[in-house]
Amino acid sequence: MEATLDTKHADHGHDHSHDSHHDEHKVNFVQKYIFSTDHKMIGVQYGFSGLLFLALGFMLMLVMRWSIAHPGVPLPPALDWILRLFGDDFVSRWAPNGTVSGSLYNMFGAMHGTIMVFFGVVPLGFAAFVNFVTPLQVGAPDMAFPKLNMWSFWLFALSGVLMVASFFLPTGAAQAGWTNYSPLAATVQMNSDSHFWTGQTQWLFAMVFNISASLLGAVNVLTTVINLRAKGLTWMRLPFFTWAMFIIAFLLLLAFPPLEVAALMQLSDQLFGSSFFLPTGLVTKEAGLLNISGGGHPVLFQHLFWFLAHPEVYVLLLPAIAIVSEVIPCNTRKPLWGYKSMVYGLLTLAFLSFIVWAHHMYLTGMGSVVATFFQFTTVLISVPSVILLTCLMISLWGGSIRFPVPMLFATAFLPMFGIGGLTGLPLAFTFIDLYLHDTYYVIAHFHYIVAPGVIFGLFAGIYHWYPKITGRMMNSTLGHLHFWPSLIAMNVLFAPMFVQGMAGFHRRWFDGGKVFEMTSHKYFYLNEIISWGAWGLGIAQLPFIINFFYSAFGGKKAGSDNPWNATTLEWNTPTPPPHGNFLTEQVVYRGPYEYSVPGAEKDYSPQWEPLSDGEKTASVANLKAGLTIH
Amino acid sequence: MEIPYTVTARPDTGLYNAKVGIWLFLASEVMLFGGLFSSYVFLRIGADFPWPRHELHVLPGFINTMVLIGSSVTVLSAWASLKARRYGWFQINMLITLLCAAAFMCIKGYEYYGKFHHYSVIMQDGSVLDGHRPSDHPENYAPESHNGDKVALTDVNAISLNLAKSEASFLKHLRVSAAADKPYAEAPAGTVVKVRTPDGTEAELNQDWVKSLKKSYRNLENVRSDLAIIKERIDSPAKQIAEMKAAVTGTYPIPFDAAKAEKLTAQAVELRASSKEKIKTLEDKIAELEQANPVAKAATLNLQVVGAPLTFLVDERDFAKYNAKEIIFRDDVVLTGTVKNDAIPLNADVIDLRQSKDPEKSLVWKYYPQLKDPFFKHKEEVTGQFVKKHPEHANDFEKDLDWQHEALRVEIEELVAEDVYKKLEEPGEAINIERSDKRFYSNFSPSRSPYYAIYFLMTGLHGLHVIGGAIVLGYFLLTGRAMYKRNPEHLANRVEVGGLFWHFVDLVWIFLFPVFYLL
Amino acid sequence: MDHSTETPAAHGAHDSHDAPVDLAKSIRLYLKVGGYLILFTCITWAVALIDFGSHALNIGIGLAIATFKVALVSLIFMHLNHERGLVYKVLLFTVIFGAAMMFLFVLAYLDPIKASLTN
Repeated sequence: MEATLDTKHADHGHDHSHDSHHDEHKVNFVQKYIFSTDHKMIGVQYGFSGLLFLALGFMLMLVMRWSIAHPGVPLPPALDWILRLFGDDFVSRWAPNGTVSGSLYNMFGAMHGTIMVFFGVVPLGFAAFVNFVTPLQVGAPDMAFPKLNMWSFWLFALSGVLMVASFFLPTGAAQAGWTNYSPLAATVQMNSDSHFWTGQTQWLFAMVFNISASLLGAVNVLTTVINLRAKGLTWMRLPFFTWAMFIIAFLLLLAFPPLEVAALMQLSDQLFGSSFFLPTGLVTKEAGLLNISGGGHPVLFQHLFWFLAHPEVYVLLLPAIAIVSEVIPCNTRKPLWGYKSMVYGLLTLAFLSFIVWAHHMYLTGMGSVVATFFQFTTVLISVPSVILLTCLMISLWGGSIRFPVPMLFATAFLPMFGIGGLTGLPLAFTFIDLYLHDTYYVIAHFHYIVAPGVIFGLFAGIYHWYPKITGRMMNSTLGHLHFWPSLIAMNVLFAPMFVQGMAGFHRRWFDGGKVFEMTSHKYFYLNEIISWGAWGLGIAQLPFIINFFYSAFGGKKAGSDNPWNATTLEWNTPTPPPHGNFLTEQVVYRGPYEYSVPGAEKDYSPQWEPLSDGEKTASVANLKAGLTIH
Repeated sequence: MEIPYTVTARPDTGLYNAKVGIWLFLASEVMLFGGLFSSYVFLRIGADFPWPRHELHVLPGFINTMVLIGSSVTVLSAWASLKARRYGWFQINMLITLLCAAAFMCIKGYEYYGKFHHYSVIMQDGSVLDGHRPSDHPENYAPESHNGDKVALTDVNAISLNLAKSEASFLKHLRVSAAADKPYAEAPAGTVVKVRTPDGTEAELNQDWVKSLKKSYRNLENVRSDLAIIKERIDSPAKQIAEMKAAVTGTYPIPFDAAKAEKLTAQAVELRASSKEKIKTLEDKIAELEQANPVAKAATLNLQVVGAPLTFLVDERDFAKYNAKEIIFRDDVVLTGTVKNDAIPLNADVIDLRQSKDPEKSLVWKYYPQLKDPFFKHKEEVTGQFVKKHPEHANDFEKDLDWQHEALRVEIEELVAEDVYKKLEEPGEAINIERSDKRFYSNFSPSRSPYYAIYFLMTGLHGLHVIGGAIVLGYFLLTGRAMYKRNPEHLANRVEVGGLFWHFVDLVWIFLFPVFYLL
Repeated sequence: MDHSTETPAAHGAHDSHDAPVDLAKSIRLYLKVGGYLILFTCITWAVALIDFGSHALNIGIGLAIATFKVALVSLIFMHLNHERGLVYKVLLFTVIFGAAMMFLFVLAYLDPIKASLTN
């Protein structure tokens, strides 16, 4: 029997066999770059799609900003080409004579949110980085289920295609906001001839696929971290990046299913005429009393949606914190301050994030008991967030900081996220939220977190790991040209929104509040300033795009496998890492951030290096002196 | 490259990869069904209609529970057989598991079929009649006459379109009168509908023609709105000045800014002068386009049918409203003719007056006058028994949900003698409910009420899990031998993981059964 | 745990490389548990036909039996009684969040704003 068994080993990589390095010589182009099962290639695929979707979402926003700043004026050629991307038929239907119609604004508003959150930031921040970095950081040859990994990427790709394709339907894409609240979502396109080929229905299908892809990805990440950690890599020796990704995967795993339920229910409302979210006696202007049974609850959708969407906020945010907490110790040459408190803060944050969701729903009419509960948990959750931010700030203290481009973005992340976080505190209280809800204040608050906050974190990550991915460094001059204008433009873009919000500007006015000019005209001019910020931000990304593509071929060679002199395992692979990652089995001897260890020869002691004699002596001496080593 | 711990367990976690994976996946499944059960509870406590209890037949659900429990035992035995290296036993047990899955789905299908062919009419006053349609009667079943939820429109001579909104998709409802017993047969492919436009030309009404008209109209509209925008911009300074004047005495007074007003007036003059040329060009363009395609000049387009009048049969969900002479579609297409066949034929089997405004004057009695006395006699009996059992509710029994369920929702079978009931159920005895009397009409599908919606969603998702699980287990059965020879432990692991999923599916059903069938 | 119910097959969940499994013994256990499950299904049906005076009580009893059955399936069929801490931790948090979801949905519905207005 043994003899027959051996011949079959080759086509079964999962077997309990020892003939490794068999299959990697045989991969063709399609297997290597398209239907790849290699976690690094999948990470790069996610990264590219994420960046593309971010660009698309950004362009939609530029069109919206034009409409707000110059309502009724045709788009200038500098922006008109964005609409032309969708084809002439689309333009003549939705933007006659190049002016943005209300429907187009609603469509772009809904799709900007959806694309940015579910197709831009999560795939780039979570999926791309977790796929590329986490298996390397835990010393694994690949994800635990490589084929599943490929499937989840292609499921995600399918959902992205569906979402974008929905623009071209006769009804246009979804128009009920990225939150897709019923009954608006169920009625906005109900005059369409087909209930299947509407933007709303396709939005739901795309979301169901997207959610399924996220669930498969989350299972894969969790299994990899739980079961494939290298020898000696105990939980408290995990880099904070991997800890954060591990927690994010848990958030996705447990928070996404309720949204899947909501999406399926809304699909049923769309396609089978059920009334999950449609109350009795629902009337629309065009159809009068709707021919439905009624008896459902719009608020149920909001519960299911926000049960996901609040943890989702942390899914957006934590990758940035994770990246920043890798970049900062590496560039301050100091250990991460309060690693353990950060890990416990993270766990607390994740736990609490499941029970704060209804603070998005104060306007639905909530009794005092429930409102108090959610106000309490919402305020409580700011504690672990502040712990994370404070630890990162203190990590800077007393370091001889070097400032390569990733570190610029990482340091800028801290105050920007701080502004976003602190301006969120007032919104935790019902009496303030009732006034500020759905104004530009809320827009400014969460954009400060996700744009100059999260996106800066992600840029830091791209600049930081670029040499590992391509073997070449990104250009520093272009990096500076990217960073400084972006920082300024971001603030010009979002800071005035706080003012407008407090003056009562509603977030869904497609004409920027033109009809309300008489009441708030004092702040009306800010519409244009904000839009200037947006154009500036767009231009500021050009150096990045050039840098991104140019450096892959013409950038400075990385020189070594560990160009930043970092300590975590991903820097112990060949560059770029081959299929299977490591040349030898990895063994971990120490914690993740051992920079400037007393007694060590270098100012960094990688996890894969055993304690040197000098370090041992120094640690004994320190113990004697009653000191402890961080 | 080889991934560690695919077959053997990692010592510190005690699990191999797939087992970690499946438990995590099951955790997310718990949240999925947790979300569904939470929604169920929310919908049930928040229902503004009587939540159906004991309306499903328990027996099929009960049998299905047995079937799933049995399959859980066999899938375990299949795994244990592999552990004991008894491949034959594994095959037998796995086969039984798959047969159980098939049996489960068949029973489920039977239940669904019954519900799709059971109808409910909610009257304008809230009374409900449940029943079957005569066309569903086995002797009478003919798909062509299966049109209770459709409205027929004959003698259609005029069709009106709105070029801004309408598509030609209403043509899919076109029918022809083939024979007396098949009054509304599908129009054969290639049927040509000829129409006369207001300016007297004849055209063939189809998708492409309408599309081209819409395009012309849209081009014209674009130029018109270009013109409108320019004109509005010229008028806007005057309007702004008027608003400024009004604001002086408004709720929040703003002092009049004379300098600004002057600037605005100058602006208007300048604009008027500079746009003269542009306005002229646009006006010429409009005239030219109107000339080129006069049919698409205005949004509303009235067409006359050339030749024999047309017949349509339209699903009620597809149109917005109708009256005796017209059907108006959601995209503003208006068909003018004679409405026929708009009564809903029904052999009722349940009368439910729990939501009726006034049971005495319920619309049900218009169709079943002979059942009125038995119904109230039955109600008296139930009330008597109820008050005897719950003397404390002697005065407020009408608020009691149990009393309502017993007294106001009655199966007709209980009201009349068996032969009378049998006669009532004959297709010829079906009542024809006028559409103006009904508020809502549906079969027992998700559209019937949130109860049936969540019933179908949960059992349907559960059914999909059964099918998915069966496919995976079937794959192990069909392709397992090669792996068994190579590495029996690996196959055993796979079956264990598949089995864990299968038990989870069983576990969900253990909750679904009482929640939907019994409680 | 009683030694007699510790079947060799279930024991296999611990360590995949152990001695041959006593097939008959484990199948006997599974049949026994399957029998209990069927018995309790019958009891659920029977109990549903009895009126305990309030719907809440009927629902409570029905769900209690279902929970017991689910415990049987997960402990014995799914070998949870042999699992180690990790799976329990994952399931514990899942159950906490699932329960929080249901509880807070219901609480939010039953605590409408008019209640606080009348107080």
